[in-house]
Formats: sequence, C-alpha cells, structure tokens
Amino acid sequence: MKRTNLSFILKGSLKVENENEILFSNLKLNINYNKWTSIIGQSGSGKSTLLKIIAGIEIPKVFENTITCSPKNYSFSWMAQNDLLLPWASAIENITLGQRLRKEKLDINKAHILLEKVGLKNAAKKLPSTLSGGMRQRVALARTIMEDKDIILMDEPFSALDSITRSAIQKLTWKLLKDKTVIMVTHDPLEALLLSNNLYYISKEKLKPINLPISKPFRKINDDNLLYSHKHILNKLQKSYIS
Amino acid sequence: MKVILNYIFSLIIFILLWWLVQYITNSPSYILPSPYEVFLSIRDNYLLLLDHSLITFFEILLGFILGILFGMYTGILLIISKSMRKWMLPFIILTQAIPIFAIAPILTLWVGYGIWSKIIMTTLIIYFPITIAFYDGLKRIDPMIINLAKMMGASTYSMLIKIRIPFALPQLTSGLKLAAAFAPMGAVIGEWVGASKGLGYLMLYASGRVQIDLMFSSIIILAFFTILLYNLVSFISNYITRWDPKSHIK
Repeated sequence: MKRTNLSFILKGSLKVENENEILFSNLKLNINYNKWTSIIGQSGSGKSTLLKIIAGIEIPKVFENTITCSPKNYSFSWMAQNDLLLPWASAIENITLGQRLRKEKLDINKAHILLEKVGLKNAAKKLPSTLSGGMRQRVALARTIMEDKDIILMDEPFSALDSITRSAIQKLTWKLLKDKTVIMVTHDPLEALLLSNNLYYISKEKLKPINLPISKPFRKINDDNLLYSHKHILNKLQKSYIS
Repeated sequence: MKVILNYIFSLIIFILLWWLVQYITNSPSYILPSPYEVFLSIRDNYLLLLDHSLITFFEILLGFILGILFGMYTGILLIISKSMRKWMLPFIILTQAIPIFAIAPILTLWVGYGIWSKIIMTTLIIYFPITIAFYDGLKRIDPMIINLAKMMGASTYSMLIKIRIPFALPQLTSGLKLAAAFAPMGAVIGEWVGASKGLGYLMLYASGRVQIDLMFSSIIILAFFTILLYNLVSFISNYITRWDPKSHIK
C-alpha cells in the first residue's frame, strides 16, 4: 500500500547566536503526500530557517543550530519571495536552468508548454529585468514545475507582490501545484487558509496544528468559516507573540 | 558615434588649452612644444614612432591578457577554497604593497632587457584590480541562488560556469576598465628601467637629447592607445553585461 504521509523529525535546537531564546527544538512535522502543508508564524519566528533545515541547505551564520533532520532521501525544489531568476538568462533559459546545470538534454517543448500555462507564452526570450514582479514569479513557478521534485518548498512566495497580482498568482499556483506535495511558510493567515490542507503555527519552540475550515482549498475568500478561522489564527498568533 | 564625437570634442578642448598655456607662458619648444610642433614631429618620425609603438602595444596587450587570466584564476581559487583565502589574500596584497618602481629593476635583472620584463610588469600592475574585482563579484551572489542550484543538482564546475562567473561579470568589468587604464603604465615603467625599444625607451631617449617634441609625440601616441584600449574593453564589457545596464560607464 502506498504511504500517504511523511514525518520530518528535527532533533536538536535552533537559536540566534548570543541570544538565550530558543526558536524551536525537537520538532516533528507531519505532511501528507500530494497536499499543501503550511507553517505560519510572525517574522523572526524561524519559519524560513525551518524550511532550509528540511531542505538540508546552509542556514545563515547568525544561528546556532544543532538540528539534524530526517529523513533525507527526498528531492526538493524551492520557490521564494525573491524569484531567484538569473538576470542574464531569458525566461525559457531560466525555466530550463536545472537541466542545463545537470547537463541533461533540454526539454524546450515542455518549457514552452509551462510558459504558456503560466500565461507567458510570448515572453520566452525576455530577460527578467523586462518583466514585472508578477511575471517573474510566474517564470519562477514554471521553473519549479519543470524540476518536478518530490517536495516543493515555498518560502513566502507571494509576499513581495501587490494584492491583486498576489491573488492571481495564488490561484495560478494552486491550479498548477494542487496535486503536488508542498510545504509553504507564510506570515499571512489568510493566504494559509486559502491554500492549505494542513496548517501549523510556531509557538513556544514547537509546531502546533491549527484546525482548518471543512471546505477544501482553494477556499473562497468570503467563506464565513474561513473568516472565523482567520480571526481565530490571528488571536493565537497574538497570544503567542505576547507570551 | 556619440562616443567618438565626445572624444573629438574633448581633444579639441585639450589642444586649445595646451596651445593657450604655451601662448601665455611663451615657453620655448624645448620646455613646452606647441601642438603644431608635436604634429610635425609625429609626421616626420612616424616610422620611428610606429616601430617603437608596436613593441609597447604588444607588451601591453600580452600583459593585459595574462593579467586577466591570472587575476580571474586567483579569484576563482579564492572563492572555492577557504585555505586559499587565508594564504593567498595576504600574498596578493603584498604584490601591491611593494612599489612597482622597486620591482622593475629586479625584474629586468632576472628576466633580461627583452619584452618579458615589461609584460610581467604589466601583468603585475593589473593583477590586483582584476583579482579583487572578480573575487568581490563572485562573493556577492545571493546565497539562495547557490542553494537553488545545489537543489537542482549542479556540480561545482557547472555552478561556477553557469552561475557564479556570469554573476561576477559586472564587478569583473569594473576591474577590467581599471586595468585597461593601468596596463600601459606597467609597460612604460618597465621600458624606463631598461630597454632598447618601446615608447618608454623613446621618451627617455628624446628627453636626454632635448627632443621634447618627440617625447610629447610618444606620450600622445601612448595616451591614444590607452584610450583605444579602454574603449575596446568598455565596449566588450558592456556587451557581456548587457543584462545589467547599471554597471555600464557612459
């Protein structure tokens, strides 16, 4: 029988160098395959660093980190607030970056199809500097899909966008990645409510689950249950911030 | 075209100022020759000047290319190896701490009076700006891009060629422009210390025989070549960093 969930076990602790307060220690993050799991927390709660530890990438030197994360045998792709596009490469070259780095045969056809899916059919040869923030994030989304890794990690991928663009890109991202395994960190409770199948928040060094409305994502923004949950999450976050 | 017009305009201003200073101070031609006298000197001695210029231009170009290669190689070593950063950086700074005038006679003694001592001088003088500019560029990259490339399965080599070096190009081109302006200095200092050919040698020769117009001719040809080299480097730099217009000097 195919497994449907996975647990990341993080042993050890993480704190900011020369500060006493521990950000988190000995965590367990349960995720479901082919579902979106979100982690919410205010700025400085260490949520982006948590994502980096899961991915096994170097974290900034300002942290004292004793965490070891298991399991490690998964491949990840990364989508961040900063689109991380190469400024000298065209949209299509950015989408095929992974293949070029691995010296694989380029699947230009697939790249063009993805570019069309993200609504940038005519931008294949354009440089990132000639694209708007929303368009750049669409290219980053196409690059993420192109990689087709086990788990997609998203570090506040929509927070640099204006509200109209953000809403459009959130819908598009959901449409294209709804059947993928995604772990997203965000500071925006509404975003988490719209997109998540599972939701956690960081409080007192631990990850705590939050109940979500019964409806399935992508949720409607005028859903009464969603608005109630939004208020509930804000209260929780405020309490954890005060304590 | 606009660049050429700008240079012609600057040249006219320069010649006017030169002529004005010469006219006001009423200097004899063995102190400050007039622009016209220098023009006549270039016309009369063009074969001699061409002969010496070609040597100096060759020294500058070869020294320039070697300096770029060594500088870029060192920049890459510094970025990929922690121990290299520890050991090489003080050494690189040392190469700048010793005045180039002090090294010139020793180089001539070791390598001889031929062109190689001048090529090495040119290489040495531009090695530092190239290395530091390139290393700085390689270092500035957003670490998340490196992480992204690692997640994509990039090898150290493909990361260097496809990510790190292109990212460092705007900084490298700043170093290249500095180097283009410094390189002729290295070759000329080398020729002053000991040579039998080249524009530096010709300057000393002409100065010793009070042929100040010939000396000025050599200086002007050297300046012309420096401007040419700078603009060529600038043109190539702007082309390879066409995605980053902020780094262009206009």
